[in-house]
Amino acid sequence: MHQTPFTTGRFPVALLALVAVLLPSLACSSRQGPPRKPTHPVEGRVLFEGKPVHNVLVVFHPTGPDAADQPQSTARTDHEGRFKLSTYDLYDGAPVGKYAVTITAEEDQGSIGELPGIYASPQTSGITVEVREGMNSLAPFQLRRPEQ
Amino acid sequence: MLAATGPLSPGAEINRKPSGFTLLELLVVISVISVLMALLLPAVQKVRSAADRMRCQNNMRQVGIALHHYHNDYQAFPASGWTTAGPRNPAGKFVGWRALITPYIEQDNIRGLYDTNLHWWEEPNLSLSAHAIRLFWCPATPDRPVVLSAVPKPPRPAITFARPAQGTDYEAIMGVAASVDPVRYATAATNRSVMFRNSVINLLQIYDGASNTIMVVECSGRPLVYRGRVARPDLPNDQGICWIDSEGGFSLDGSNQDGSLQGLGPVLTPKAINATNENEPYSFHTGGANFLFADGSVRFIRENIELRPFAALCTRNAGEIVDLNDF
Repeated sequence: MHQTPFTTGRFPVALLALVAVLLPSLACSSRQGPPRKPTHPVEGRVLFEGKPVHNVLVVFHPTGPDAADQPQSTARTDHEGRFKLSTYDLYDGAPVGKYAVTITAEEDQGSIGELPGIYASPQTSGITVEVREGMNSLAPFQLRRPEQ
Repeated sequence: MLAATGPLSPGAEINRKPSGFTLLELLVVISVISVLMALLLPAVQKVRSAADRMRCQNNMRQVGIALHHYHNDYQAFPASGWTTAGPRNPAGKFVGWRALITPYIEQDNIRGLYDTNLHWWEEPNLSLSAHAIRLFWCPATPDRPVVLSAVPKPPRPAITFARPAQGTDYEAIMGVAASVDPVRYATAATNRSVMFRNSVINLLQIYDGASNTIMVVECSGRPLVYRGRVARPDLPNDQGICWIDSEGGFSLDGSNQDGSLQGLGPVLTPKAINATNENEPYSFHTGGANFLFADGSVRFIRENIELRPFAALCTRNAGEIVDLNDF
């Protein structure tokens, strides 16, 4: 009776060849770059002169020793000025560590009013935050017009 | 043939040679033809889409030449939209860039009727939006919606059009949103392109190089919202209503794969092209879109380009090094 390769002694060879072909492609399909760090949910609120600001960009710039391996965490505020931070997936929060926070209003995003430019740079914004394990409910960021 | 079955030849019924086709032959012929058709149809489709792409490139090239003519006359490119008073816009009204370049695309008569002392949504300007200018249309865009109204976008009130407003598929890109790189693109000093709100930018101010800076992009199908390739009439659109408007310009944000999220940085929203036409570069061409550069050239860029290399092309003064291998 005719036998197919898969029922003879050649079967392990065929299987091995299959594995040898598939393994590198599996390895290649994994995410490149530094590994993901565990994240913890972060939420907060942005107020300018006491009023909530809508659709401004909130960015957490990591300032810890391994900051280069970690992407910035971002969020946009809703109509009440509230935001939930995202790093790798939507609303996943941010890894534990220290951050400099910037808050940027973008003209073509319909952000209400103009936020002072000092809040757009991590060197001048003056807002620092430490993310801890577990739920992080931050105190509202109170932005003010700089005194002339 | 018919004579063989006639009454004068009684044995003809038996000795008759088979005439016509048997069922099997017919089936074989049909199957061969259908296989050939199946081979041919995608080729026809491909040729059609390639032709659409080239016509679109030609349109953009004409727009580029018109913008350069405008630059020759006024020593600067037009702003994506005028909203405040300035030397180029003494009346301080809302004026769009497409209305300003009409004299250079053989639509001088429209320019003659357009009054820059009024907003674009005031008469007589608003009625001019009913004139379809084919040069502003990409031939690949399917099913243009009939636009009879627009939601308000302060200070502009809601609009009702007496005659359907005609759209545009070509829009000025104002720059890059800060979310793409919050340090590099933090302020207008680095994140702007050539044509943005109230801009007066000339060729010498394009420090990244005119051939490395995108001026006009495809944003097809507006005001109907598309995400992926799916039309979403349920989603409102307050930007990019008709070719005469001043508010259609946008900055590059980046989208997630299905276009439902925008402007959250290159990890969460990495897609630069063809994810959605909600203020992002979007075309109906397969695999990418056409872009008009400030030197007047039009190039097709593949949609799998990463966000940051593409963002480097959308600014004129951020000092990025453009790597031609990226696109």
